[in-house]
Amino acid sequence: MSADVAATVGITVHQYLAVALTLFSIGFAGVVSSRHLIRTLMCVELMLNAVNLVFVSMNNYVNPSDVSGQVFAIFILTISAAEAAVGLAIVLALFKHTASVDVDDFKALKW
Amino acid sequence: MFETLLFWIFATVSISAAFGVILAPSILYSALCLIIVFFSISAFFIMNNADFLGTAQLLVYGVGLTVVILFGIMFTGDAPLADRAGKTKRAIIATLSSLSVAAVLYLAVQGFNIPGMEASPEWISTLQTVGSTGAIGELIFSKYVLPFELASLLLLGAMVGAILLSQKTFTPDDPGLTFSVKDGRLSPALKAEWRDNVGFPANPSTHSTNHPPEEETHS
Repeated sequence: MSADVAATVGITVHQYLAVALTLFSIGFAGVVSSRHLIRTLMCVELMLNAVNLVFVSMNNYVNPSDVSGQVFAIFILTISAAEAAVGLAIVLALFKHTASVDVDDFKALKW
Repeated sequence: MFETLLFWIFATVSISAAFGVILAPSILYSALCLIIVFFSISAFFIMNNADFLGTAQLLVYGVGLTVVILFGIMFTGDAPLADRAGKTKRAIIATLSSLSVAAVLYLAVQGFNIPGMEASPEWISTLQTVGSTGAIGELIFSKYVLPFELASLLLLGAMVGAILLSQKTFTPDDPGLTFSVKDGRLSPALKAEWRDNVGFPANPSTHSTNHPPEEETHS
């Protein structure tokens, strides 16, 4: 990384990647382990944010003059907003059915 | 030096708040921890010369999305879930699988040596004066205009779908919707309570019987 670039002096892209990796893994652990539906949604948002961080930091590292990575991050942001709205609507519909947000309670299709 | 310090502060804060999201006893604390994560990621964006994206992150995630999530929590209540067996099993599975995901991701980026590129002097002066917003807008409306329009369609569809899903009321004797839950959480008494208090669509037959008496008195 050149010393001319305004920010990120002294911080390499690898450090950002490490933070993003950690956040992604934590979010994955939450998706796997969480029993609360809304917490699962939150962990999905966490994973999406980690991916966004990778996009932005790699964009700043590989070619700072081209903001394609940031545009991609904006699309991810849009899609995750849509995902959260639909996901919460589904959670509320499920809650109307069973009065529960526990993932273990939704076993109507379980063999 | 200052940036390095900021980086480590925000890295520590975001990772510990992320642990808070998955480990907090109450779902409400998880949501508050999630706000902290969003804010520190916004700081990372700004440290990476993405000023517009940092602000958008604050507005969309830090405020908008968390408000939606808090609404969801308000609707469903933040009562802790009933204790079930297999808690440690779940934790072990989650730890192992997330560690293996982390290992795979680490191996994927470990040997990467893409050469970095320096920012052009014009770009640096743009960043120092007007920021990256104009460049992002130019790119969105030229090269990425089709994904942009598709994203707007997706948002429209998601909005309509979310409204439909959350408006979907069901009558308790609708055969398509009254699947039985085995441990009896949707008891008949609960159904009747909802029908009276929460507001299922009033039975059309009762509606029509409510009105005629008034008309009879008029005539």
